Amino acid sequence: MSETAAALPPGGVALGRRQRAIVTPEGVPLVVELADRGSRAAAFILDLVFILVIMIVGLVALIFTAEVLRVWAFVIGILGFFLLRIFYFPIAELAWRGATLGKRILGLRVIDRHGGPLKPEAIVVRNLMREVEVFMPLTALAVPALTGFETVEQLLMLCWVGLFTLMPLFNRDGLRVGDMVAGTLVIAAPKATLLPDLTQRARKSRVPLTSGPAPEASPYRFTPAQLGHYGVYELQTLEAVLRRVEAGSLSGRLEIARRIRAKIGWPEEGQMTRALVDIDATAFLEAFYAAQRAHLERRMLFGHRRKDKHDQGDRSGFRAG
Amino acid sequence: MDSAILKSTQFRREREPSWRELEGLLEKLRRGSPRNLTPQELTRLPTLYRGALSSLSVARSISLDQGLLAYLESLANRAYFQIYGPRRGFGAVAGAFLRRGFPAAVRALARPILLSILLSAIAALAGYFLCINDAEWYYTLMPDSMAQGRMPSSTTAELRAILYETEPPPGDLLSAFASFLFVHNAGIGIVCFALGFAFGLPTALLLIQNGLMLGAFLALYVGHGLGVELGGWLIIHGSTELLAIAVAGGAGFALARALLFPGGKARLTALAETGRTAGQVALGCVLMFCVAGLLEGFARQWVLTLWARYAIGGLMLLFWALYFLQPLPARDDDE
Repeated sequence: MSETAAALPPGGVALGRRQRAIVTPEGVPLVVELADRGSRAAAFILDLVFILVIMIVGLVALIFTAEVLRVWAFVIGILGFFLLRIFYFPIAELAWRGATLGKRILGLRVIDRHGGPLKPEAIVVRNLMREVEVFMPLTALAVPALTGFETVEQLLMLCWVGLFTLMPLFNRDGLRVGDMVAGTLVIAAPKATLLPDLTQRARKSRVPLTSGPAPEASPYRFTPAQLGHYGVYELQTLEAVLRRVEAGSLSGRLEIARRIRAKIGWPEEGQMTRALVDIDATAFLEAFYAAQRAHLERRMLFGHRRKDKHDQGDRSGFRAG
Repeated sequence: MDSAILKSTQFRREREPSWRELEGLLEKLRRGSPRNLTPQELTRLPTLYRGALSSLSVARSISLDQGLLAYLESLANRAYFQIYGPRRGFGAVAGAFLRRGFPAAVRALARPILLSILLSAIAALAGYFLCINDAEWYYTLMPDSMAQGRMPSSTTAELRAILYETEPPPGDLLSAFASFLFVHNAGIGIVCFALGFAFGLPTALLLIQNGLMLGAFLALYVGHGLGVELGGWLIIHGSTELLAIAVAGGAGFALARALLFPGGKARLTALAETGRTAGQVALGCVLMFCVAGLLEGFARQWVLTLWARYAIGGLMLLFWALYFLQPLPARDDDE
């Protein structure tokens, strides 16, 4: 838990509350998103449903195909349920690289907590522990008559085994007992698409009116001093704003553009190459984003990463340079 | 100044084709098995993966494009799962487990397992001597469900009849095997292991209870002069079953040891390291319980000669000893 949290990716990017860093065998820290407990529970219930379906289909098939086996349906049922609940999870997690059917559907995955390869024995262990986490409490609930306790004892027993079941609620990583014993972590399987580079969009959108590549054609230009107001946090917030396309985002952009202009004092003399009757908020923000990013990335190459607008550490240094 | 193409943009332009290629391969893998990939594609995979990792490292230090960083992070993640996910199917894993994993794990946990055997043996002796001197103890130590009518008040003939009970219909044999002999016992074994997580106390209690019942049972039969016959009845499956219980308990103790005395490591790290070994032992015990269940459910009903029962039980013990202590093949996987 704490040792994973300690391994921060380079560049000082802080991890979110639901994020953990693992270090791959190549030594590169990867940020993973913890699976939330609700989807894990849902995945488990789905898997149970699949087990039941397999059981029922299997039994029905048996009964209809072999007359003799009908007497043994009960026996095969007990044996089958036991073998399925012991072997379904590990077989599925081995076959689909750390995901049972339920986990696949809900987009979850089991990984090694420290980033190493996910070993078969880890898969076996995390699933064997289910016996105490789920099936023992179920037994304590369902067949108190068989265990032969008095009511108070049954209650105590239930509380005690319930502790194992509820373990994921008591730690930050949502580890269940099986994960602790096997050294695994369940995460949300990532699936991001590569979004277009906004600086490229900015270049395209300010198509020069005259022919030929003419960077001067950009109606919006900024001085280093104007770009010295914001940090990475503001830049990436702006990126998020620009990537949002839902209705009503335009008025928001107008407001943001207005605030930025007020803050950085734009335009100064001679910064408008053309007389613009009205400022196109989106085009302005995209141009500002591109300029600001170029500025901050250039600073980053020299080892200055400005976290946000309050980060004054190296601002003066830049002005001197 | 905003006219020059950003370094990060140029970087993206150069590397994007290889990211797309990796993405395509991953998508293919996700939909099917690695067999869907051509050999060329398979050899490209690790290269592309390392390429994506290095892109991610570079991007983190030169790019502030959140969209790009998120994409690379996710791409590297997905490739990482494919490269470092479990590589072998169930068959290969099971084979390696039987050939090497199980005996190796038992040997690695020899000390907790010996502790568990010792604890069971002491409990059995205690149960025996308590009951042999005072038959009243039998009622305390043996729950009715386990006694099944075998009481100190039973006659010698009744007790003997239970030892040589035979010829129930085969359906009954199988159902006994399924419901009690295998599923129940294997469940106890797994619980014995898993409760090691509760610092081993419940494991110890289960082992002691088991030992006490065994001792009480022995005392009951020895008291009626049936000690040798009971020995045959017990050893035919007991050499496997009692061993399995003790071994599973040992796996539980190993968990407890890792939790209580993690040494220089973090508690969770120590637990995870031991847990993987102990879990293999517990899984192996499930198999041992299956063997024991078969011996108890079938062999014991078919083999009624006393010496044959001893022979089978003894041979099983010898088999397990040889199996656990055999010189082990080297790990054949590359992990």
